[in-house]
Amino acid sequence: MAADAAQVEGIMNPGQAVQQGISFRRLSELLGTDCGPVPVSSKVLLCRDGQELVGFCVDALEAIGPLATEVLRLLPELLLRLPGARPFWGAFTRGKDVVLLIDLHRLKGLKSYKVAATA
Amino acid sequence: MRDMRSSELIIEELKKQREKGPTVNVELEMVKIVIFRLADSFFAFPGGEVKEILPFMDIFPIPGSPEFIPGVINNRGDIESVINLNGFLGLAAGQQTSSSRILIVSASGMRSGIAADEVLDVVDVPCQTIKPPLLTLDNDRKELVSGELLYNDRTIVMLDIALLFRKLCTPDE
Repeated sequence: MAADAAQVEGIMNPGQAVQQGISFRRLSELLGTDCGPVPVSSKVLLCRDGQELVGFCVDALEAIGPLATEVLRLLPELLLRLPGARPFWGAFTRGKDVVLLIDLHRLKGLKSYKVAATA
Repeated sequence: MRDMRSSELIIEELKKQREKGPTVNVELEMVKIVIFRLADSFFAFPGGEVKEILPFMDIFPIPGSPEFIPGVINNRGDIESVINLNGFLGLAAGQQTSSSRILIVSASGMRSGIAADEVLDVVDVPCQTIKPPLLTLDNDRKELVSGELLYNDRTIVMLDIALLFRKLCTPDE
């Protein structure tokens, strides 16, 4: 998946985030997907939530780079109309693959995020 | 001589037809349908609403999506959602084989792929052969069914794509 770089205030290792007192959650955990142990390649994407920085830990950072807006597609209508909050808004193809575009701010709307925040 | 005989035969045939009275040219209204299999049940969509029949391909999951949406596919650069109707219709899970297909369907301004275990036929059938759905169908299925027909000794259930999309997008109460 991919996120708009404008939403990312910084990138650091999980250890650095702990040292700096930045709270973070594993993205796969928030999205309810299978997540094994945190891989050594994991990185924390920092996102601003009001005055505070929050982190989302991803298993690996593959690339940072520009992308032509013409290649971006909205998610199919059916997926956009499904009830319930979802953080994905679009996608683009890369070879035979599909890369999902995630809105990091929408993660706060997920039940899993709210549960973690109140826990 | 041979020509004479031929013309006489034609005249004779025309006389016979006149004696029988005017013939009524009955043209049955036909509808094209795409017949497919999910588990051990057979279904059909109106042919006009089926835009493409694709071989089964990699489905990219979308985290947080309901169980009946296994994900999206990359259809020659277009991103299409895929619906798995088996669970939605109370059928056993399908198994992916070389016969599996993805039907790209469109109705009410929406478009999606539907995973099918097999596409059996694309055929024109007389409209009158499609009967109203049986009242004995269970509720989950009945509200998506527009009719039934017999085809090659099999009961084929016609599904209403627009109703299906509407039901998928309506939150459970």
